[in-house]
Amino acid sequence: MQNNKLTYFLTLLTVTAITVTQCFTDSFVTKAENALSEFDFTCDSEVSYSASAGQISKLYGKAAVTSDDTVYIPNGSSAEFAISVSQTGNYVYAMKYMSEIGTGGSIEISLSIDGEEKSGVASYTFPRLYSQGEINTEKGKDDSQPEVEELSVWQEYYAYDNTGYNNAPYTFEIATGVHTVRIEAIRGGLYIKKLSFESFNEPNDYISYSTFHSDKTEVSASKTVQAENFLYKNDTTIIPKSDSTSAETQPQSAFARRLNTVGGSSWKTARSAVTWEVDIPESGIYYIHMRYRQNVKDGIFSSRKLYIDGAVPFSEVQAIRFEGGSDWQEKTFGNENGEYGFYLTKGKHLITLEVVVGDMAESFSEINELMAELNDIYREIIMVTGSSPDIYRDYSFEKLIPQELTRLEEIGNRLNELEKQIIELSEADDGYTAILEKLSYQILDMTSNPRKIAKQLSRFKSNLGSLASWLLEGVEQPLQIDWICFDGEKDYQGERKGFFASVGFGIQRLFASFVKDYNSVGADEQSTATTLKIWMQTGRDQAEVLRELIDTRFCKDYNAAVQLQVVGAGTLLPSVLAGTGPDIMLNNASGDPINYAIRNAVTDLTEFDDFEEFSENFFDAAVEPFRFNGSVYALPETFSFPMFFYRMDIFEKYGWEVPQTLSDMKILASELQAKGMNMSFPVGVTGYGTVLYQNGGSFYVGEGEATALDNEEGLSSFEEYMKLYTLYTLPALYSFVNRFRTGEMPCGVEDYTIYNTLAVYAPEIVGLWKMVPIPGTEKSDGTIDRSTVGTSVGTMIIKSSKNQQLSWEFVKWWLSEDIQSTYGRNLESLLGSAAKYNTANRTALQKMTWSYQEYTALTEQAEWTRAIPEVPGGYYLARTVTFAFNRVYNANTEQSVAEDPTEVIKDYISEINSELERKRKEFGL
Amino acid sequence: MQKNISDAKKMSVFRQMGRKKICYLFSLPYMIFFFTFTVFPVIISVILSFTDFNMLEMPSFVGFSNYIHLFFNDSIFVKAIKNTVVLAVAVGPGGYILSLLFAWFINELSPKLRALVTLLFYAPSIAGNGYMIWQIMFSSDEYGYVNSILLRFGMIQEPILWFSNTKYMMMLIIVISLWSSMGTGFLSLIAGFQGMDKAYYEAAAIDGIKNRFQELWYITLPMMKPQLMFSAVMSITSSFSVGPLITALCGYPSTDYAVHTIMNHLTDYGTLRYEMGYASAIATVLFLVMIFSNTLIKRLIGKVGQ
Repeated sequence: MQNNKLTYFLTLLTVTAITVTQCFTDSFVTKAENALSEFDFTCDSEVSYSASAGQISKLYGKAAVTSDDTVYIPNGSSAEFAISVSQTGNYVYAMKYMSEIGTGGSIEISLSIDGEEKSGVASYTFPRLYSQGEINTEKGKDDSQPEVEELSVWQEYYAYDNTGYNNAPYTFEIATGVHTVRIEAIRGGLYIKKLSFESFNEPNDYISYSTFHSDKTEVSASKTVQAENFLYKNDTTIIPKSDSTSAETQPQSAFARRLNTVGGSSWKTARSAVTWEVDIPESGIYYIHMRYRQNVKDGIFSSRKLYIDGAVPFSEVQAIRFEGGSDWQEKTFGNENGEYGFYLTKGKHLITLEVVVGDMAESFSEINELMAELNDIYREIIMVTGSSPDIYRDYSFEKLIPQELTRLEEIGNRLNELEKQIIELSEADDGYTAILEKLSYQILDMTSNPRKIAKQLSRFKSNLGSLASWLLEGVEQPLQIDWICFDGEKDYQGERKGFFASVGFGIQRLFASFVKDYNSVGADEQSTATTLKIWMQTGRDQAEVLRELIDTRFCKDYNAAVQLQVVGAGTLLPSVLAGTGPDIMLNNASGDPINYAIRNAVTDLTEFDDFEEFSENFFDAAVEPFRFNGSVYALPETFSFPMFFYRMDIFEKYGWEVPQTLSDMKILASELQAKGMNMSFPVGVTGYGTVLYQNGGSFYVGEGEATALDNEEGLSSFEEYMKLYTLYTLPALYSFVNRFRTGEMPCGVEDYTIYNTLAVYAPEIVGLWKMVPIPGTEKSDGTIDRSTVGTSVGTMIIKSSKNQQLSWEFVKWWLSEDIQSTYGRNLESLLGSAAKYNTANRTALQKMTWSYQEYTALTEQAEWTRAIPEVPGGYYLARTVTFAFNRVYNANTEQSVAEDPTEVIKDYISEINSELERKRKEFGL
Repeated sequence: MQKNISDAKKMSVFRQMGRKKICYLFSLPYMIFFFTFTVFPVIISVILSFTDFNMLEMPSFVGFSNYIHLFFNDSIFVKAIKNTVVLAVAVGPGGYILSLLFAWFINELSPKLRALVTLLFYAPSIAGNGYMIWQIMFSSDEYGYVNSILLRFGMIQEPILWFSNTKYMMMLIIVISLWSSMGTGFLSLIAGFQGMDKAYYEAAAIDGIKNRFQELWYITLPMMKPQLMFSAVMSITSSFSVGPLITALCGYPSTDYAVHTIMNHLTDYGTLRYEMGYASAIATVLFLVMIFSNTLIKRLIGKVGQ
């Protein structure tokens, strides 16, 4: 009854149906924001459905219908829609949507029809849109990056494959009848205005396009757009770049850094698009010329899809090739039969270039599937041989895995064909496809003589790894653009600088290198404001991102100048000693702040009035290592802790469950080993700490007067921990990423930052693995204690600084939710998803690009995580745990007299205690 | 009378210096740097060794307490001395003798081949962190080369943690240090061999030298004393200061301090525990040990050819 009422109410709220068919017309909207979404929908209105037509059947979580006839689905919620289909067929999915601002990264939704994932894909990506401000340019000064802002505009977009393996949108086979479509927002929230299932039509070819426009005349007008001044992008990684290698690049200056191009190595992932606005002076046929460079991928082209005002004019420009080469090149869009003429009316037009994998997508897609199969077969072989096969033994694979061998041979032959196909398509030289040839040769060699399999296995594995990286690189389509010119002439008419101009430019640059300080950027010259000296210990890229934030945000808001320098880790101590240290030191490892604090060199942050309030933004355990004797000497930037990673495909295949407790994990370990696989658990103090904390133990007594490892929990935990290695033979050293990839180690407890590595370097298993909280220990009341040990990196204020209050303001600014999340996102956009930032700020973590599932898993684990307290002499503890671990482990592997773990750890107790006591005495505690 | 003579002597020292002031002027730049960056720090270090200094606050004078603690209370220091001596004896003279022998062999080769072989031997020491390849060979992973071979032949059941098993660590470190010990000393020896005047060998042959070994002992080596000296000092000094290599391979600190050297002990106290006074005392001891061993070498080399 209640439900019926709700549905009725919703139906009332959703008033008018929107016209679904929005086919491409000649009328252009000058306001770019509206025009961008006008993609070409040659729609089949029979099977298009509007969210507003009262077909919403159910809402889950926080999803809601808003007053202006849209459905709002926040991160983690979902909505169901009823659709009725009149004709069975293959449809593509399109959606008119608007992103909820602020969570970064593309929006991901999952889509099921009658509870089924029709296209076999778990999630679909819909991009956000970002606008870019003006590039701040001033004579003689370096350009600074323009501000980027996310737009809330309606966009229409198909459900595309964002790995790039398919150029066309996903198709869904839907039968006649009424169906329920469920949309769940799994990364970021969104508003939906309309969703539709349509039949997908390829655009016409150039011949029919030119016939259609044959009555239009060529014009003698020209318009050039500087590529760096674009209007929109749908991926934050695309930023204006500076090119100082060529005198020809516009604008150019030898003495200042000009942001004069766009793209390059950061504009390469499928579906990333840039949109420019061009004001066409008069109606007529135009030719498009472009100056570009693709020097990232050697000897192979990059592809782009061209949209004019949101529509692909003709099929030939769905994959325009940009040849590789070390130099800048000029190109006029066209094919072997001549240049393409585009009919453009007078007025403003939107030109979009979108990354597509283009002509090679099909081959790549097939290779990707074959690779997954090869990995499966590799695991089958490993199950027979173990990870170090005996090369002299005949395993008689023909009898054990006959089907796999036949399949392997087929794959080998197919790879060979694919190689030829790729060479033909790409006109690249043989070197480009060497890995395919190598692998196919090896596979055929192995199948023709199965006795060789054992011998070849390790090379087979490394070839599989190479193939994965080759494929990863293959789908990347980097391109850097200087300008785009629309001209009535078939040949580019623009002026060219001659040889002497380039030489002159080179000489100027040489002189500039003597006077220009390439390190100082930004506010250093302001003399009126107080200057804060800030040191950081990470890389240049991080410094660039932070510097930009400081320039655009901090200096203005706080009227301060900042000198940001990158220093080596050992620099702080001597400079503090000499009195030339900074005001603020960033990126300090856990132990440092306390080490400096007990020697009176850093400021106790609790002295500031609003400390308590501010420190609540962080996970407690992240602040813990900086706390000593009731004072806090630093606040955390990053916080990392172990998570449980597992391969869903392998777990599903063998029917394994994710272990919830350590005892489950042990059972799993033996099952894994029965199949020739293994799992990982952190070695040393993190691993031991996990077991210790879960058993209710602790590392120290009181404020670190003595160690608590010799009490009952400490000893029994160590014994339990060591059993993982002695009894359950977990490995002590391993490369997790490699083995996780091949599936030899289908699960493991690893630091959560390994997520980045996996996301980037193991593309072949994207979507096949998951990150969940680690196994815990069941308490008497049935709850599971998932405690583990986390580590944090912090920011501290140097005591000798004269700008204490301003420094504190900076710390608060830098570690605030806003700046941390912006910093993290900018870093990710600059360095790619390998640089996902593990912020210690709770709310900032929420704003990072984690999916809803990942975010909840991370926060759950973060709340359980505890830190090892930092005490004077604390370094001794980690050291002895490692010693004890090695002693027990080594004694076990050598099958000599096994060492009793509790006796071993007891041996070290007095050493730890005397060091703690000595240090406490030194500091008069 | 006596006084006058010493005065005259003093005068003459200054007069002599005045007379050769150009020479002093020329050596001044070097001497300035040598004093500021070598002699001065050594003196400072000796002074600091009598203080308690945490690097961030003013040092306070504590007399001999650092030394007393070092020799009577610090069991790890004793272990470090033992390890250092074992390493120094194995790697110092061992490396030296190897250098000498290889230099002698190489000297027999044709010039082109000689250049190539010299490069081969010298490469490990210019390669900087080249010793890291040993970490791959002796990786504790079951895929490490040595482990995987041993596992394949069934000689072990579980991979051995080469660099954290106290049984193997010292041996490995010695082998690796020897491998990378063919440094500048080795080059100077090769140069020494090549700079020999052939006439001596002819003369010696007439005087009754019977074989190549006699030639080496009675002619080549005595003629090469400067190079021998240089090479010996280099190899002994470097054998005492094996530290970074151990940290890179065995971790820091090495398991149960099995290959903990005085150098490691020094960094342990200096950089990790911020006890610069104590670290200075260790450095002073190391300094004295080095001076002592260098004097010993001088004596030994003096005996060459006798």
